[in-house]
Amino acid sequence: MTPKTRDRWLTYLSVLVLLGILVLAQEYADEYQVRILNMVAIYITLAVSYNLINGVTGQFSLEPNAFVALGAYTASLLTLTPLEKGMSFIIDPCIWPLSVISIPFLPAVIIGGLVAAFFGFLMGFPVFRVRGDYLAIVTLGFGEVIRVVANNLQSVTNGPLGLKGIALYTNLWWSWGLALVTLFVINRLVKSSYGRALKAIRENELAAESMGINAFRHKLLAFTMSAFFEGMAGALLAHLITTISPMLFTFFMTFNLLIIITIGGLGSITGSVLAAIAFAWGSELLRAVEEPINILGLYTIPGIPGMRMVIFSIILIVVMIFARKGFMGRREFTWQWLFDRMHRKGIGL
Amino acid sequence: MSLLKIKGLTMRFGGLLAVTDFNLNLEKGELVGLIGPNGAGKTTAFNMITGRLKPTEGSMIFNGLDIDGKKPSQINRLGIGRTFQNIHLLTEMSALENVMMSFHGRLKSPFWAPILGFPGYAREERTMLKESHDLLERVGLEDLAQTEAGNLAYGQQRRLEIARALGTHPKLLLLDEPAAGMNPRETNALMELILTIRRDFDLTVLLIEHDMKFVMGLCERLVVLDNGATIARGLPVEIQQNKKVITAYLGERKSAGR
Repeated sequence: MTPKTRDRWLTYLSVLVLLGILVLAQEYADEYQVRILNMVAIYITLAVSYNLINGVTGQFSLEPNAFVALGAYTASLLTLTPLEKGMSFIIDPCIWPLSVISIPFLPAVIIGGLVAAFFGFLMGFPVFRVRGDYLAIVTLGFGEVIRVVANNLQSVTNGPLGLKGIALYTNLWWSWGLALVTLFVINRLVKSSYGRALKAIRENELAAESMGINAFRHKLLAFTMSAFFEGMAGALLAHLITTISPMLFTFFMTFNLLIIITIGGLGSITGSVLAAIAFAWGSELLRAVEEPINILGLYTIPGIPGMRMVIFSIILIVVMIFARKGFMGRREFTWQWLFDRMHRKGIGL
Repeated sequence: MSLLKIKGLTMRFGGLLAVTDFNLNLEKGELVGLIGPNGAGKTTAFNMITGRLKPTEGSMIFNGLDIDGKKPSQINRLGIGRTFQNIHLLTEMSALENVMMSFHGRLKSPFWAPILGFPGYAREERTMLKESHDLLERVGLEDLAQTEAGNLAYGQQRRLEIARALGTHPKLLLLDEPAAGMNPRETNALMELILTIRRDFDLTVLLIEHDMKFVMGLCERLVVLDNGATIARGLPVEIQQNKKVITAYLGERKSAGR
């Protein structure tokens, strides 16, 4: 058995183990734990797709909240029944044809992704005229514009009231299914000649161009693809929390994702996955610090909302000081690496 | 028909005339040197030919096509490969990946082909890999295929740039100071390499170089730039005797006693 086939089987095996865990979770875990598992999967999807443009292609952009919002709103408006829309839209009625449409979940999720991808594609033309800091500012602006539009387009998005009564369609199969598809697609892309081209643009755009690589087109490809998956993740998120409003899609969402991919290592897919798991899980564990804490019955620290963000920021600072490239850097976790390590420790195989 | 025909090429940066009225006719298979003191506008001329700079005036016809205003990547795909004076490698990628990169511009498979695992893409990837190994062998870097480009020695990096330029299947190869920083032994090997790749890949070569021994020994024809203007052109022996050229490089002789 060559190392390559061995690695492939190990990957299949770990996917099977994951599915086993999901079956068990579906059966025995309580609602809260299932919800965390769903959030972990959605964060993996978001982080891996955001990393494609920020890490692999090296184009520092700050817009995923916009694509998540686009996907979430599109899919929710498509799945909500006309009756529910009639009840939610109390200030301005929902415009035709949205007011009468109601389609199943799967097409709604895919359309959500496509709408985000379409906007990503259009946005790519102006935003990739600039680089570096300017790109960050322009994309940040785009993210804000989408949120403000969602806040004011009363007859489409129901404005600040948001959408309520979205069906709880997202379960472990949907969220982990999307996460696995995203991982599969982006991993295949990054390992191909296209992935090498994206990395070449990150390392030296001038050299890439002089080798016949159209940098603009490749940036657009990475941007559109990350928008597509972020949009679908947004659709799943909406059908998990069942109520969405523009407040959900502020810059903080982008900021959280930025923390994840930076800590995981810009450009490392497995780094993003690990950091996404740590983040989604960690932010639930850290809920404790936002509640009043009683120290030995002597003194009570009142609960401080937002304390979690402080802790995440401290973690970020520490990581940036001691591991400036995140804990994976640009490396990837590979089975080979694991075998080499075990070999060195004397655990023969 | 000439391969590259440049007429009245001029580059103005604000008030500075970096290149004025540059004319050049390259016939297929020629090996021509572009020389001149520092700041003469040689690299600027290269940058205009490869699309990095848009000339203020003039026309450039390559292989019957007007290349003025085209993007660097388009010009490369039309058949002009180049290396850089201040090496531009993908330093964190392996030597092999650097060379493989140069095949990407000609890739036929769309981006979804590798995602869906189409056999057509796998075939292309195999060809790419094989040709890249061949090119590395050509420039003598086969043993270092897996080394990060940034960790290669200076002379090796220069040779890797040549391999990478060859990977784009150029008709015309522009070399910007290929011998800079090389020792005499390496320089001799480089001369031989340039001659063999020209023959085997059917190339036309235009090169910038300061090492006079290298230029005089290698080039069939020279063009001399000084302060953006073309001050001489001709065979190496003619250039060596040219008064204007000697003045440009060494300055004017002052009469004694003044």
